[in-house]
Amino acid sequence: MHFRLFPSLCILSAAGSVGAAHANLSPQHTLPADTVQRGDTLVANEREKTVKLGSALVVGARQNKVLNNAMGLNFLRPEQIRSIPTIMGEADLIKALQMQPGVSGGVEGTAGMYVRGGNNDQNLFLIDGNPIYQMNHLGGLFSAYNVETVRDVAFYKTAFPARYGGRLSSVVDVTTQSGDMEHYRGVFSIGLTSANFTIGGPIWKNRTSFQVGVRRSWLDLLAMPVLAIVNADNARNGEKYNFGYSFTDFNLNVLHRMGRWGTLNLIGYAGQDRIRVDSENWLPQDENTERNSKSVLRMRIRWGNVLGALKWQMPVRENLLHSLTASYTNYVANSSFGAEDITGIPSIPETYSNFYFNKQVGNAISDYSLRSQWTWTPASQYTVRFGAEGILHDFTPELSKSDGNNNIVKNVNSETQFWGQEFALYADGEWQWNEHLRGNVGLRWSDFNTKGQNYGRFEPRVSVNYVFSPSWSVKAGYARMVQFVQQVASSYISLPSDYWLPVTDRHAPLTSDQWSVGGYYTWRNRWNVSLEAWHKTMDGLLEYREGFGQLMSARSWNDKLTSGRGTATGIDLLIEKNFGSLAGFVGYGLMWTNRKFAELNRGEDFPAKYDNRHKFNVAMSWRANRRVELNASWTWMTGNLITLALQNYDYTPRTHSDVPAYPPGSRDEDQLAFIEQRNNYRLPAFHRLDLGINFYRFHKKGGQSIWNISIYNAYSHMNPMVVQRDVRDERRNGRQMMHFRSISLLPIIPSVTYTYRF
Amino acid sequence: MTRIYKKQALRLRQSFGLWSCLLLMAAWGWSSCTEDLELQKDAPHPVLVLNSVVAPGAPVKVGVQRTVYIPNNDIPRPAVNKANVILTVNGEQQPPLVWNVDEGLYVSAYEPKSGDRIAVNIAEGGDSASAEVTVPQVVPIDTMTLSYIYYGRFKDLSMSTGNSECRFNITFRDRAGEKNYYFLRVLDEKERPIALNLTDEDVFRDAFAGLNGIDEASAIDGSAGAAFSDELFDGKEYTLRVGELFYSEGRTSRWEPNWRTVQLYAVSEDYYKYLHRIFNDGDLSISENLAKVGLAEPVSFASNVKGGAGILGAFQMVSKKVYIVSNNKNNTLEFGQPAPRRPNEWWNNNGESTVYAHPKQ
Repeated sequence: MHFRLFPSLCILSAAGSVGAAHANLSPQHTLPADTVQRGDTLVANEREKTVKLGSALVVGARQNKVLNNAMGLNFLRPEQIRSIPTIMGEADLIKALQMQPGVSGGVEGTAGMYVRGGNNDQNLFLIDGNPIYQMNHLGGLFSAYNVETVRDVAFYKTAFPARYGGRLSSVVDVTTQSGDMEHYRGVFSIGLTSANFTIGGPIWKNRTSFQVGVRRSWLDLLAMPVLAIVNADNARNGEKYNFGYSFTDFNLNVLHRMGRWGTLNLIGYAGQDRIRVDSENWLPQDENTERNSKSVLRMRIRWGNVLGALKWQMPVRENLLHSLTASYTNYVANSSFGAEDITGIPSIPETYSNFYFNKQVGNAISDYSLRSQWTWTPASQYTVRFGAEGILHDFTPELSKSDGNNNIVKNVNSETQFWGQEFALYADGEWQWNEHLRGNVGLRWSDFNTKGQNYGRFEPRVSVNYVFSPSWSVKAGYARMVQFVQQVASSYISLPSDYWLPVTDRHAPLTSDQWSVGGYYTWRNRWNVSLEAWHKTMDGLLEYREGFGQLMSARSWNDKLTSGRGTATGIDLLIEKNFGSLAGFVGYGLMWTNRKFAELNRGEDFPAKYDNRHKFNVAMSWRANRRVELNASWTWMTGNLITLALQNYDYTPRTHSDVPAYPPGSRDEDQLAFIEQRNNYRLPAFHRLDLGINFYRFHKKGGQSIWNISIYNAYSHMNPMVVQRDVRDERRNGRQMMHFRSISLLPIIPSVTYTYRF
Repeated sequence: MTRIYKKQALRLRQSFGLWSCLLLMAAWGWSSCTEDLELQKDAPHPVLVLNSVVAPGAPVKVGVQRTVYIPNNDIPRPAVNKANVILTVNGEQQPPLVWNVDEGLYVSAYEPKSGDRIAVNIAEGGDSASAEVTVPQVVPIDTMTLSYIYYGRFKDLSMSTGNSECRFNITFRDRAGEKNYYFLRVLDEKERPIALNLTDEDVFRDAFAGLNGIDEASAIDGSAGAAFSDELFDGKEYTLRVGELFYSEGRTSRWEPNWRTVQLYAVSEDYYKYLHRIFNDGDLSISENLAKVGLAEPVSFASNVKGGAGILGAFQMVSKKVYIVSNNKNNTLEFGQPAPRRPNEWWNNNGESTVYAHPKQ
């Protein structure tokens, strides 16, 4: 029998009931969902006395989209994530999610995720149930999670279970790998951009295990000798430049079994990016003036997350499981700039002058949270989950510091810091009414309190599944989601400087309502077809008011924002083939999404930037033999929308002799740009083919080495990222000629990665 | 923006501005591929543009045009001379405005007064547009003093653009109980606007916050005047401090004798937004440049025209004119009359401004 690992069907633990495909396993062995969802198979296994799963192929009912109640839900295994060829060969969770229908990737190469017409900040990223804020490295070029430490990813687009809250559009629930209780296992891999090392094993055999993963980019190390050569040459001209970028992430999972007291799990995650730019210019002593001078410029940008969590999971009774988690999350984004000019005549100290300034802007959030989650299974056809969580937020939405002795820069130390309290209660029940009808009903109550303002919101969730036969079913669902913190971007690409801002008395929480209906078909669980239609409304979306980007003004961040609403409607089609030497999926998404803000676009509706009408994805993996695997993915989608000032008009004529005006020719542009509508230009269709090939070598002692060769953008189609407005010197009939130029960033990029598993 | 100011600002920007950061972040990519964008062949429907700025003491004149699709920018723009332009003042319709071929404007005989509510409706080719504005009250300059500031011999190597400054201290009283908006400019003897140093004036402070102010160019333009509001001094007397920077070799160096005219405008709210965008933000602001390179949302120019583009603004302006003879060793500026002078002959100020004692040299 030829088993495939590519599809997300190979699961050793599962949420919901688990069905066993292997002949030796009971066909419908039920495990309480949360027992295993947070990475504790042992408790479940001990209590349920299941067979040792080992390497058996177990197909979970959760993957059977006909029988389970979930809609818009996909599970991804690390194997599947790795099978999606990516830039520089970096296995990338977000890039794998971008392949799903209904998900727009934003600007090419970035780790944007716009799910079913939502915004990039509306995705709830959980690491073992604990939220983190930032999932991007290098402006989104790489996602900030080391796939080697991932055991399983659940991705929800709609009909969210009531235990999830805080974001409108999707939930990405990453379950990390815990270490093997008996043997040490590890992975080392090195690619063109980074290297990572993951190791796990027993600390106390069969009682305590650990898993640690570290990944670091090495672009800065590669750049060092290049910069040294360049600077050696530049030194003759009195110049020196330095540039460095690095990202690091660290994962930790320590699991301790306490017998009847359950398990204790310590989870740690830290991801950080640093950009450093330095330059020095100096003039040796001038013969004429006898003075010398030196200019120094510095720039630092740093952003990242830290997460620490301790989770105690205990079976209270045979059918009741409790999990208690205390966690701390910190997100920081900081940019600092500094300059210094020193000049003087060496022989006359009093002639020396020193002008300097330093500026720093930033944004930070610290969360302290406590969660209590219960799973009660009164009967095999009923499961009830309920719980409570409280989060104490420490917000620093806008930090601005500057000092200097230059009169351009005044000494400023403005750091708006305040607290917010978030509390939620939830309960949902999953039941099977009869052979045909099953469903899930839940209710979540969320409360957010800050600056004396309190917002309480009910979030009902319901999904119903009517199973016509084991092969096909029809589902319908509704979910309301509420979000109290959102990230507002003033640029088109995901930058660390994009601020996370909480709701306050000025802006109400974001609320979304999503209705879905779908049909599901499976053929022996090998072919799965799902077709879902959905409609979503979003209220309370925040955008910068026109001309009030975060970088532009000293006004309070609260004053710069304006709120509006959004709608999105679409259809997602997914066809998956899960077994055989050739596996993969084909996805198609059709979508319309619009926005309406009273203070933007003259109050009229406008399409969202990522209103990608059609999106078509193919991802295939072919296991040619035991040693060779070929992967390919192809995406085609309608281009993004951007705003272009396609028309112009003249400055105010001199309708009065004292009308202020610029002297002729002193402005870059002779006319004023006119924008008839926001997002008025659609970029050409996006399409890209990525290829990858893996060569496996199995070592006698059980190790495995893998050479991966990836070709990103195999036919080098230059997808435009941004459009530049270009005023040329060219004039015709006395008028300036203006052009728009598209800039494409990523041509064909081959890469190679070596991985050794032991 | 004076050439030297702009040149230095550009140099500074290129050396270390935000763009060095962004360009370095994506240096290899930015050069990878650029391509002229194919715009749709069908030009968007041009909208009516209504432009008029009115003030007491002069008849209302209205410019009417249509927006032009950028690829057609070189095509001559025919005058929109068949429009129906209606002026309404305080709810009373005035006789239709008449096309004046010499000025290329529609002209009315009506001269607005303080507090008038002016409405203009235009209709042409099946399209129509309209706008309304209230003429603001005049805000007189109570006093104006000038001083000379010497920053240091080597200041020119710093981030600033001069080592000496002619500082204008302009005092006026804001009208209480209402939001007021202003525009300030200083003209030279040929009535050309001069570049202003606005860095010490708090009403422009927000222009220097955040990443703005990383160099002068990205902070605020001010090369032909600047707009501000009464947010910091609502209903109070306020002294505005702006300056004209110049280079000198030291305390002994002289200011070139010249006329300066300070003009303080009280402007309507929408016109203030329009002026702010054009005069304060300038060509080199971070927001402007981010939008030009496609990294940020371009922003429309402020407009109060419904159904079209352009601006209907209103203002009242007062001015003070002064002839500045020279800076002297007491760090003051000297004033006089523009009359022929012999070497070493100086005049006391008997003009419109504060009188300074003049030490004979």
